[in-house]
Amino acid sequence: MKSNSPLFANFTVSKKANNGDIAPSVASPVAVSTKSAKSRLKKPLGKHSRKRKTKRPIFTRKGHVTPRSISARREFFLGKSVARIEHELKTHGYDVVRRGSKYKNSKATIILTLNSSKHRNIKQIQISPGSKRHGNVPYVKISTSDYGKIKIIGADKKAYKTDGKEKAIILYRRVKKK
Amino acid sequence: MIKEQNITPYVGVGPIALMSKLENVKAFLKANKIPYQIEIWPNKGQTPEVPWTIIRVENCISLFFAKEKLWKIHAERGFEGSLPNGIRIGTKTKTALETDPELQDDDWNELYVSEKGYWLEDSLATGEIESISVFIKDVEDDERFYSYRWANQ
Repeated sequence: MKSNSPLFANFTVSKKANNGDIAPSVASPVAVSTKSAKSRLKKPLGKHSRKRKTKRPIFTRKGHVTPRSISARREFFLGKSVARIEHELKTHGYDVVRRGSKYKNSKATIILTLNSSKHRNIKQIQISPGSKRHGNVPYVKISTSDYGKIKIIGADKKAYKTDGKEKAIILYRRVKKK
Repeated sequence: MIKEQNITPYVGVGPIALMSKLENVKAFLKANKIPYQIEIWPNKGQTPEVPWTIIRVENCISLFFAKEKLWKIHAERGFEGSLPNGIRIGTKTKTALETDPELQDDDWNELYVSEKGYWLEDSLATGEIESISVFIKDVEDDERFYSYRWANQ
């Protein structure tokens, strides 16, 4: 039942008060749509439906990685401290040691795994601030026992110099769509 | 003065010998009025945590020290000396590979490794050798090198 008075234009009768009087409640069109949207979100999930995970895990429970799982979360490795990457490995059962690269002229660091296995397939991770050879672009390289090497470049394809002969699977930083 | 010197695997560059003490190298550079800069890499969190000191002579060489001992010399653009086999900065990679057929392409570390005791980095843009590194023998074995026992000799 809707009041015809202009004063109550935004009021609708929603329920009756205990004494039988009509109690007005605010019900602007905006308020109605927000409420209905919220109630839709609160609907219980169906028997077979699951909450969708927003991020695909890099590691399986046993510490295994694949080029696909790394590719889906490649940005995880970029811009992270060595300690953060090390922590992630330890969380997934790896014993690690950190070493400076004796080969490089820059501060490249190597995380060496000591207990790689069929499941824990990462053998080494090299975190490099970049080298002249590749246009001073930072990168992270992951050496695995079953998928070879995976190289995550901290820039797009244009900035990274390569001769195309690299054996590693190369993943470039993705550009965020605006 | 240093930039014209020859670079010799397991030995050094001209008067700067591998395994020299940091203070002696600094004294030599000062005496010869060669400007340099010092960098310290603390190597925090590494096993073992041994800081490296790097003396950089701009556009010439970088000298790497651990526990005050020189373990690597890295020559770059501007350095005019050569290896005993004639390879120098600016040599075409193809020529270097012909000169030393035993050079191994180390894909992981992105350089060429010679069994004769040196590493070469090349430029993808020019196809020329961009740097030459010589080092002490212990560098060739990871466990030996990172134990730093060699520095106590």
